Amino acid sequence: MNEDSQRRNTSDSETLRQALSDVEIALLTAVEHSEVIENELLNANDKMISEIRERVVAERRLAKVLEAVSRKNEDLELLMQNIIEHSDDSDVRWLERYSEVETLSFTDSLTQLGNRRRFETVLDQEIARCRREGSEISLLMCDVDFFKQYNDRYGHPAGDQALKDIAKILETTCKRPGDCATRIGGEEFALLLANTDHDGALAIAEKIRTTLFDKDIEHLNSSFGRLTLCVGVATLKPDSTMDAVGLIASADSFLYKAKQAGRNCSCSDVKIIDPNTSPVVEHIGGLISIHETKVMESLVLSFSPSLFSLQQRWRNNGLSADFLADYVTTFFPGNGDEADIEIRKAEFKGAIGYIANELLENGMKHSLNNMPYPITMRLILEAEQILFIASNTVNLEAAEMYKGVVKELTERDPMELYIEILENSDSGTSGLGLITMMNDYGATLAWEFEQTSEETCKVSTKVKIEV
Amino acid sequence: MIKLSDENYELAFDEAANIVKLNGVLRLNGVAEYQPITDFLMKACDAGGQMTLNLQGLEFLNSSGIATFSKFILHARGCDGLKLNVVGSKSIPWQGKSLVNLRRLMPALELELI
Repeated sequence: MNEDSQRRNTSDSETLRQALSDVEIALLTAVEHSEVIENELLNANDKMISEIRERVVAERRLAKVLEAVSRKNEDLELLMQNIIEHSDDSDVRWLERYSEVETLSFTDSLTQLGNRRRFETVLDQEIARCRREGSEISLLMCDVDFFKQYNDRYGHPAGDQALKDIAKILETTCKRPGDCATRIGGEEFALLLANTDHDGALAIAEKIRTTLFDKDIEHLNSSFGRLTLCVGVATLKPDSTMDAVGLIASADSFLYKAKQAGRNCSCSDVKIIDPNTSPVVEHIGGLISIHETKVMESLVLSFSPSLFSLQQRWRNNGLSADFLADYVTTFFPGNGDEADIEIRKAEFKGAIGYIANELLENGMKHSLNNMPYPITMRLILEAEQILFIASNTVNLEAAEMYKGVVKELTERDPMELYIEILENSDSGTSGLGLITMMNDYGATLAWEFEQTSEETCKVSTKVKIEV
Repeated sequence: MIKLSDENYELAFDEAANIVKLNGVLRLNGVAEYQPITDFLMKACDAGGQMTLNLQGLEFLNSSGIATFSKFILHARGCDGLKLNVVGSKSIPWQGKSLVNLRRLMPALELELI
């Protein structure tokens, strides 16, 4: 028992020792492990502190970079904004300048009407529009009469003012939206009248012409004593194949005819003389409009033949005299009695023959070798008289010769006669001398001398025939 | 006095007074063509102290020009001790707007419109 007990005690003791040893080992192990863990934790902590410090530094650096970038960004935005605003501002100013230039390029600076460029642009547009709408379009070409002489006598500032006055007349006459008044040359104006037929256009042309006439702007170098203009009227129908160039040419040709017909008149494509039936028409200035005779109450036929051919014509076949006599009696039919007409024809031809002889044989042939300008012949038919005028510009020596002829014919001093005529005449003609005399045909013959320059003189011979 | 010019503009640099004066019409093609002008401006800027940019006679400036001036202003802003004075004209339309805008880049800039 004791041995067993002793063995058990020994065994227990051994177990306890072993257990103690295990506990000690375990404890030691645990302590050592803790130390390792603690060291590791310390190391980790140090590392983290270091990292945190680095991150704080990096953050600060980053914040600085961010601030710089942000500032740069703001600067760039401002810079870009400045450039954009500057560009926009420049664009606006360029556009304004462009508009001004565009407007100026279509405007006549003197009259403020449209210029030729505007005229051509609007003409094409309006022709196209009228064709689309099936309406008529009319073109008026206006040209101031004796404008060069006006400038020469009254000076260019006065000429400019006259053009402004005329522009104002055109502007006030053309009030409709489709109307376009332009100055297309020195003293030449064009009016485009949309939706306007021939009669309407002619009425406007006459309104313009009479308004200027009534304005009574003095022009003593014009036979009208005042500033006047001519108007050529052309109308384009929608079914016509005529283009802008054709329309301008047509209006221009009527303007030319208005000039040929004695100026201060309107001329359109209505004719009373058929060129096919009268071979003389070409020589006396072309076509005359019915309207013109109605409005003017006078008819002017102008032509500039050479002296030689004129002499041939008058002397050899009398064609011109016959034609003119026929035409004059058509214009002044009187009571329509044929016998009366024949008598008046004969009287007229006699008067024409008289002036032809006086003019050609006694007068102007002396200047044949000194003739700087062609002779101009004009036949003016007015309400109660016929005026036949032949003019030639000659040198002063030739003018003196004419005066001698006058003196011989009248046995009176030209100046004395001139004063007498001025007192008895309402023509207001100026000149060096104006002499009248009656001839066998009841015609009044007048010579007029007007000095045109230091060396030259315009000599006109007039025959007035009462009808 | 140093001068730089073409048929459209003239730049005069008075080194003694540190004044850069620009007259005429500036419409050079791109920032690169503005480089000679930029160089003058930088030179004046680097001298420090007071600097005057007189644009009273500059009638027109294109976009590259305003970009050049804007960059110059940014450069000037960073120059220590530089006092920049810009003189413009009230009668030249672009200056009233664009020169005032330059002050947004450099609030210390002294602008005088005469």
